[in-house]
Amino acid sequence: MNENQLKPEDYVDYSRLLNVQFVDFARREIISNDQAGARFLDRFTEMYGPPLGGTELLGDILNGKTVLPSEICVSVCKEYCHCPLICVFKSLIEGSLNTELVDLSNRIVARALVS
Amino acid sequence: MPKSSSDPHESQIKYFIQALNHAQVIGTSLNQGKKLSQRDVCEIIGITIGTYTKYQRGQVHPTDVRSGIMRKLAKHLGVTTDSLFHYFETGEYSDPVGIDSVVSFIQSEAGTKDYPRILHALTLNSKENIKDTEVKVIKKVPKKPTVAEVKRAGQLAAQHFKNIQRAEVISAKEAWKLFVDSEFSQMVETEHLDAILDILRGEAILTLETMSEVYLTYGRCPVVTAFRKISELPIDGEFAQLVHNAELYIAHVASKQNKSFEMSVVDV
Repeated sequence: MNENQLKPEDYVDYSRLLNVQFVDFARREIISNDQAGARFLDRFTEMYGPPLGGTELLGDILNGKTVLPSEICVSVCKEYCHCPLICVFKSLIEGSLNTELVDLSNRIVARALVS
Repeated sequence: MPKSSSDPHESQIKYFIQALNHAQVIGTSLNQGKKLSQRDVCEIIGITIGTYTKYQRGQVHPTDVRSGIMRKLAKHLGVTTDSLFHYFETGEYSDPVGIDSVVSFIQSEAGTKDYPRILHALTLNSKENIKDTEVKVIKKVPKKPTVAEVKRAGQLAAQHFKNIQRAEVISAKEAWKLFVDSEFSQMVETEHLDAILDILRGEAILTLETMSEVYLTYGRCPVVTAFRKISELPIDGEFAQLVHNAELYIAHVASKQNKSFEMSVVDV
């Protein structure tokens, strides 16, 4: 297997870190996860249009209920050369994001581009 | 002689509060040189902290207090109930009636006609003592709050947090900042603050395990303590009752584990 290829555990880890960042966002804003999800979706739609896979899937990923599907991740990263989820978080949160999340996002985008 | 205020009603309340304060000092020798806590006095006279708070705020006139409570207060102060009521009226305890004077009265010719009344009073007193003993036994094992009650307490805490925001006209972010910046909250670990925040955001269900862990770690409820610091909005009604019941139980657990726990003073 090519070492540049993304493994299922990369997506599991990425989804876990996205959930941690999402809960952190909700806590910073002192709002419920539902309210945070609505804000996230509004910003996402404003910046990128409707999310690939639908709003329910996006909500489930943010809430840690499901893992980001690899085909969607690769497709979106190739299209934008970055992960839209990270950019939405950056636009919503003052200050820096979780460095572990940003590092993994960079690795995932890099690998997606060469796959 | 102490001066009484012009309104006898008010002065009686004032002396009642003073008597409660005396009750704390009276127990000093029993408490390794420290004043008794309000909770100790509550236990001695058989009332809740909520009732004690009402007394201390002057919301209850001494004549409206149950005779059993007054009897215990008088006993703790080492005076008769008559003497205690004399104090409420004048600010001075009347001369104590000693056992010798009672014996002397009974032995006198004048006292013989009062035997039926004396015997009746003795019977009542015995019954009251039995009743007191039963109450104490019940109090020793407070009821363990149910899962639903603790969950409800968490929901009402979240509601109270929102009510504070409305009352103080501040945003949720500002309210939380005041919460974490308050003196006591600064001792609370981030992990526990996150758990509290999740309950206040309505994202987590409060459990007795979480409650006990936090209460026993910090020796009191950090949420009620912080709420009190950031707003004067009273903690009352169902929320106060649930907090009070849970704290009674946790105080019981704490005493079994030799840990200290200070109950919140709430209006129950």
